[in-house]
Amino acid sequence: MSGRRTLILGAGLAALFLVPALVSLVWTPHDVAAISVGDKFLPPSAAHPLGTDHLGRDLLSMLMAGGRTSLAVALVAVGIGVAAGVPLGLLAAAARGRLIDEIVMRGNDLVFAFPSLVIAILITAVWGPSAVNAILAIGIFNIPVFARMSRGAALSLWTLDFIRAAQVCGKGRARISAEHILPNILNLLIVQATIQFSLGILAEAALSYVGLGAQPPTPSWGRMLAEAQTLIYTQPMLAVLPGIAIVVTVLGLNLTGEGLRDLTDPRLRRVLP
Amino acid sequence: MIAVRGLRLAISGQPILHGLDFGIAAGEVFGLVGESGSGKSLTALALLGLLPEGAQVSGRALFEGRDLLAMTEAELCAVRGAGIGLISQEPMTALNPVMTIGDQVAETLIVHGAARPRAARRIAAERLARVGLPPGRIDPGRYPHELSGGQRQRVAIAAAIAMRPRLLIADEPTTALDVTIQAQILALLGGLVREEGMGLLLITHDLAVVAGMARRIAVMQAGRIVEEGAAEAVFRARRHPYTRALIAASAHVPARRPLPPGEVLLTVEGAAVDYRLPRRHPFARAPRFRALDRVSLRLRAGESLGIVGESGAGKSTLARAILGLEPLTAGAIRLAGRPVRAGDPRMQAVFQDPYGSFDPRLPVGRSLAEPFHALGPSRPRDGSARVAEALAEVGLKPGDATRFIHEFSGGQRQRLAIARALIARPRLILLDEPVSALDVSVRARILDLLAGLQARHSLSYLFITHDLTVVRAITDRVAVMQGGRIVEEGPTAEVLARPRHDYTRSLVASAPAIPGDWTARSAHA
Repeated sequence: MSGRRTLILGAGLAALFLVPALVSLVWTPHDVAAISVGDKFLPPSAAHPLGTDHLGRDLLSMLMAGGRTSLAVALVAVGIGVAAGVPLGLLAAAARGRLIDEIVMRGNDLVFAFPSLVIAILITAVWGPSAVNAILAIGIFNIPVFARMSRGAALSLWTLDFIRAAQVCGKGRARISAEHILPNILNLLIVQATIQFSLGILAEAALSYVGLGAQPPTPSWGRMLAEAQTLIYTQPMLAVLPGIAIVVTVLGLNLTGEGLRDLTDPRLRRVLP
Repeated sequence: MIAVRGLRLAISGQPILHGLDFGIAAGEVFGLVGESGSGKSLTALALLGLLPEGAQVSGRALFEGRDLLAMTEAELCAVRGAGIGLISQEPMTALNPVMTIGDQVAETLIVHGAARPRAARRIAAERLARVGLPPGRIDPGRYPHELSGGQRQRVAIAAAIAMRPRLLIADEPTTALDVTIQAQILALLGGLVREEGMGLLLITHDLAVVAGMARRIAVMQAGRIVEEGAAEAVFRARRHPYTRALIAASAHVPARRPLPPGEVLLTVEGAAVDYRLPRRHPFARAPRFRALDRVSLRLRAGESLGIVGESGAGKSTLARAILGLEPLTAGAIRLAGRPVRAGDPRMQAVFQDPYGSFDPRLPVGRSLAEPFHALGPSRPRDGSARVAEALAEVGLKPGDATRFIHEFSGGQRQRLAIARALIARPRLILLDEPVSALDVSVRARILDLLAGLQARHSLSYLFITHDLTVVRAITDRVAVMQGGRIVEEGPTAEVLARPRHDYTRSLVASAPAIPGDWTARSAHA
């Protein structure tokens, strides 16, 4: 599949659930916190297009608002990774081979050495489960990913003549990193950010599923799954719908990342005149 | 043995080769010369059926009576490696890094069912010995990264001749190698052709290489053979204007008058640079490698000094040290009396790679203005006017400032690099292999440009190169480097005509050259 087609398909799939999540910021068909036990397990109807759950909440509204949590957690977690990881990676590349490079990269290895979800569980267990702690836990594990990637990409740029030319012009390492290195690795970072974003959604769902992410009444796809688990034989749609939401969104974002990578791969670009 | 008739090639509808005709006899070296983009490498790939997707070929290529262009993939596989061997340009990537060299040579034999593994290894050892890697000295169990570039190219040749092919195709076999190694590899190829009776299709951009090797040559331009014949006759007669232009460009010497020597601008006194190597164990002292060993130099205003040497001689380290990018372990480097530092506007540089010299994301005008950074508060207000002026000086248009680097050709990129070096009005420009990536005709024009600029601005040049023709063309004095030291220094003409040091002598002797009387203007020309 060509990069462009992958990108369009991926973005389309991701938008399927992410756009309703954005809409839920201003409007949902029903209040997601309103419990009306009398209306539980209603089949799809005009008032409730996807029916209601075991507490009588509107399933469509829950799905829309649940995406909002996933989106926010994943977005901020990627933000933490980029904001801390990229400068660290650029610093390590600018000081390649010296002590500071060694310190940054061994610190990375240290974080990489722990299974991320286990540490995330540990953090939320210590500080208490909440969406904010989930963000922190997921974000910390994004830092080494971005640090390593930007260091690798920057190292190969540092050997190029245009960087030497900038050095001859008297520009310092920090300035070269900001003015020449960063813009040239930006496309790689965007691709990686898309993929980390999808992993963030997955991680948030997993944390919420085990009860360490978003707390009631904040809706979340992971918690919807956990709550529907006991009803899987009587009300399978309650589990299937959030499941589909997670799978489709993660798949869509992964495809988006793949497509972006194909479109911006410098090895493919160099062939062009 | 091979006869090519009317070979045409188009890739995705775009014609590349327009009907080539040539033939190679057994035991003959046939040189195919041309500049980049002339289609010489694609000719070789077409013969082997290794063209990229979307290629359409027509014509005939009879190899021992069978048409290579009409063969199925399976039939071609039986010919490749067995009937026709290929040696490619890049010895660093032509070998599989995780296979021993003996196994790589034996692989061809095993693939073609010529020998069982044990016998194949024995034959491989013989073939390696034939190309100058006897098992007693270089064990066939070694890996490519344990060998030098020249040795790797020998392994690639051994693999290509393992099956004793009748035709050997060598695509720029020595371009990536140092001159002394190049001379050895060319001698090896010549010997193989004589002793084993192979035909050799030698593809190169270097006229001097074919002049020394080929019995017959064909000159290619834009997908056509414009002239073909016995090597000496082609060089002497030069019937086609393109051949004439190519030969003239390769021997081109820009018109320049040495400027009267000015005051001493750059002094290098006992400069030494050590690199730390990885420690052998965590508490050992890191071993040191002396990349630059007490080098001393002087460069006067308006003078150009060449620094020659092979890879690993310390040329690039010296260049970085002079630019203030490499801290010295000992000694001192001064520019007009003050220690050098990066960002001194009086000193600028032009680098080798015309593709990597500019930030691909900036319009070239921005890149050209970068040296203004070095001027600090005294940076000119009329920045864009200065950019336009510099562009005009190197023969480009002021409007080019808004274009991006990928829109320019290799020669234009090198002009831009020179414009960037000029813009801060420096007194010294350090040129690190500025023309070695360029075609000969482009190279001649860049050398002219450099000579003109030097005269106009009384610039000093420090010319770092491995190419003696360039040194001869544009420098007043030359310093020869080997193993981090300067082994000989003196006026260029004198050093090249009467080299005193053994290393200089071997360097001058190894440089391929077109025989002098071939290029001399004959009476009836």
